Amino acid sequence: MLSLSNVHVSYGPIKAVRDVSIEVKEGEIVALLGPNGAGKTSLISSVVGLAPIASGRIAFNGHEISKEPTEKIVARGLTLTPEGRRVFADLTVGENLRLGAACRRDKAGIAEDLEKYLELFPILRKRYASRARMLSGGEQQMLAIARSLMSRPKMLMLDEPSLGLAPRIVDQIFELLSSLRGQGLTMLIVEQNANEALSLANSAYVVASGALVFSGTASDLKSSGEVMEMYLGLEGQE
Amino acid sequence: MSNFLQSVRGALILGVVVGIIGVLAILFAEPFYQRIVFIFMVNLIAVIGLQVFMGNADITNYGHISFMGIAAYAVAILATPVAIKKTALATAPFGLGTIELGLPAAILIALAVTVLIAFLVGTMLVRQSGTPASIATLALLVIVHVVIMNWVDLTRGPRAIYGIPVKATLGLATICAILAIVAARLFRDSSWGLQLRAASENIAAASAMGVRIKRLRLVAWVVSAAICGVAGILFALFVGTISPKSFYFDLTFLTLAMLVVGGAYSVSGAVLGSIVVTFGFEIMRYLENGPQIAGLKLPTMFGLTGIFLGAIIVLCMILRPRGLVGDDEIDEIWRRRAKSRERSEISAKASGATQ
Amino acid sequence: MMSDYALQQAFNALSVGGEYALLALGLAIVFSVMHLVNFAHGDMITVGGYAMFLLILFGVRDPFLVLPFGVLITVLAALLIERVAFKPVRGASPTTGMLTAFGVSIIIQNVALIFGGSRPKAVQTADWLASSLSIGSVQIPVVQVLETVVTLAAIIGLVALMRYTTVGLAMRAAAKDVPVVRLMGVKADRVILSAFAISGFLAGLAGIFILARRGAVDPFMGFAPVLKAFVAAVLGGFGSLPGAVVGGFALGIAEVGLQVLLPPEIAGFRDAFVFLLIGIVLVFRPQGILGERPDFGEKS
Ligand SMILES: Nc1ncnc2c1ncn2[C@@H]1O[C@H](COP(=O)(O)OP(=O)(O)OP(=O)(O)O)[C@@H](O)[C@H]1O
Ligand SMILES: [Mg+2]
Repeated sequence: MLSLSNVHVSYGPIKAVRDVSIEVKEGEIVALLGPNGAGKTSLISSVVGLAPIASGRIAFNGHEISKEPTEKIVARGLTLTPEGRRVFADLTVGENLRLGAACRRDKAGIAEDLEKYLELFPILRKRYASRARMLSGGEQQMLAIARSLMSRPKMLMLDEPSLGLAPRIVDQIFELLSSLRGQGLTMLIVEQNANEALSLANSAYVVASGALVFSGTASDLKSSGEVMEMYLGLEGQE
Repeated sequence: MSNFLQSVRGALILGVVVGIIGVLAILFAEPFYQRIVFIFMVNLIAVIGLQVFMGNADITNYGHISFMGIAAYAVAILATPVAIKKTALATAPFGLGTIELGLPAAILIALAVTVLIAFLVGTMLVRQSGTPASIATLALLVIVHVVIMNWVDLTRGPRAIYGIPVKATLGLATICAILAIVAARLFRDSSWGLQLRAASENIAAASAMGVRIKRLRLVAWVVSAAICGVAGILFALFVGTISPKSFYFDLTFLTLAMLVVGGAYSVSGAVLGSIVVTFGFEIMRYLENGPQIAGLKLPTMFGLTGIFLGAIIVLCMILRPRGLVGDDEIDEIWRRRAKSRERSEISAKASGATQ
Repeated sequence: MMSDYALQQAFNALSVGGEYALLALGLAIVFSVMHLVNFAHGDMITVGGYAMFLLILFGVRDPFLVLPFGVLITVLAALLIERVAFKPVRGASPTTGMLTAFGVSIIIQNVALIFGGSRPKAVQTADWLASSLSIGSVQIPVVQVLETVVTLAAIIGLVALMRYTTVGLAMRAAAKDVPVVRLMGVKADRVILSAFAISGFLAGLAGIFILARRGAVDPFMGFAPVLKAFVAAVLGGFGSLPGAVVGGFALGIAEVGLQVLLPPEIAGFRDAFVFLLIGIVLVFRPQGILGERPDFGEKS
């Protein structure tokens, strides 16, 4: 569904991502792991045209998208829930969700989806009319995910959905992602929280200092003690 | 070579260019062109004054012309003969209608008044940076204009003050311009200038410097105002007649255009921009009046100079937002080029030797 | 009678405030989505004014054609200027944008000067706009009543637009986070053009009233109003839409108040007080009276 070949991302002289290739198949969940500053955010932002691609090719459902503007890529059905949530703090929960569907024209479908996600995230229904800034971190993360889903994506990329959240909330978020997997949504998840992400993912990639250092199935990675320890600071399961 | 000498040398390169323009005009030009060159020198001094603040503190300043106005009015009120004041400024407050100072005293007091006002305004203004500060300078321009327009007893309001002793010569203006160039360059390269520029480029450095950056901005602001004050005094003492509209938006934009076209971040930019824009402006002014060219009578087109001015500002912002010269002084750029050429020659020789 | 006078002045203040609010809103909308201080805002009114002048010159006199035409041209002028001058400097520093806007303003004024001359040209907007309404013993000019009403209607319309339409939501969101607005599938271009269209529309409305009062166009007619609108926007907190409205009416009331209260010898200094006020606001409270946020979109 999504394939990155030899992607480089640079901010002027700073090379954030070097020669990374990634493959995500339809219906699959892929974890993208790596230490702080590894270039994870740069990489997935570049996929939606929000970070400068120096070279490389990105194909989504067979279309070359590396030169397309963000809004076009989103219209193709690929979206990103950005790092740090970035909900529109001055807009209400409802307005955030409506804006999430800005690229769609099917009024009935939008209303249907809105109902569906308010069902899935009861807290958003409860806080529907409050400004997003009044929500807690976990609630804001749920809003950010729901807002992304409102565009009815074929594939969703999430940048550190568990960032800064209490363990109980993190569990809730991953439960939710797992239920989205149940609905057949393809996902690419960037995480620091390697264990949680790997429990969900089919395959995994690890980047460090901008380069790919591991690619394989999630279980391969779990059993690769060396990678787990060196790059993710975790005990592997030998 | 020490940094100080390097700065002086860099300034003198620009000074020589300006000096040549002045001397050529004094020796060969007809009065009409001498007048143009004089006004060029006045504008150049104002642009250099503007550069001292804008280039170092990186705050767009729309208020510098008000200091030119304050200084011009101060010197006019102090130095105009009492005989003329009897009809023109009969109701002047503080007994100003009955005194007539010699030029040196009048000039010194005018500068002191300008600096004092600049200091008072500056202490408040430097608390902000960026757009809020820019808009505050714009407010200053309007306030000073409104005060000059309405304090009729002191300034004659919208009507011109006339009879100011016409004592400034082109030679004097040229010397003042060269001195302004040297002062601006020395300020730019001084440790104050360096710190200020570093802080303006870098948010972290700026916030780390806190109070100090405000003080440095204030210094740049006052120096800038003093230089603009010199321009205003020269103007008054050359033209002999001043009115509020001489010191408002028209001149503000003319001088701003000069600075941004040349490049606000260097004194070289200020000088180059002043020359280029004056040249273009005078050509447009010639065309504007409907001249006869090759037997063809062109129509008058008042507004052409304005369009020229607006267009170069817009084009410059789109194509070269940091101006023709960019971030470094011309002599610095030359030195760097020379060095890299030397280096490539050496490496060429070295590679030739190994073969 | 004193109370009659007070009522007259109150309407005066409201209508002047309304004019400032309309213009300040236009400045604020553009500023909020792209951090551009658009000093050419007032000159769009000039363009609209000359368009009406030309239409009348061609024999069209019906105000119901002339006035909408003026508004339409004002909107088109705003869009055209965005394309030609502001789009190329998008993303540059606010300073660059502000200087560009000044450049555009100077160009428009001088193009008008070349083709129209410096003398004002009479523009008859509509007879009924120049008449007065009698409320009891008080005479209130129709312009003032209409201006107040139209301003309020425009504000209500704008609030609805910003609340209930997708593009309105996108504009509000873009004020804080443009990349994420694009992630919602909204073109940044569309948001910016909408902002300019709205600002042009509001300027066009204000322009009608400005013309109705002065009865003539001249090349520099846009400059003074935009300076005042600017003050209003700064007072309210630049980029804040409620701030622009509050700032506009506050300025209108303050101006008329000063005019009435200041002794005649110093009434001329009124504008100096007004600008001193914004100087003080900028220095001590750059986020304005509503205090939404000190966000000028740059380092400070
Ligand atoms: N806009 C930018 N401009 C310049 N450099 C940047 C920019 N964004 C990121 N970088 C640099 O690129 C590198 C990779 O950053 P990135 O945010 O992609 O890493 P990350 O893996 O997402 O880190 P984290 O886990 O902390 O979110 C870092 O060295 C960072 O400093
Ligand atoms: Mg990241």
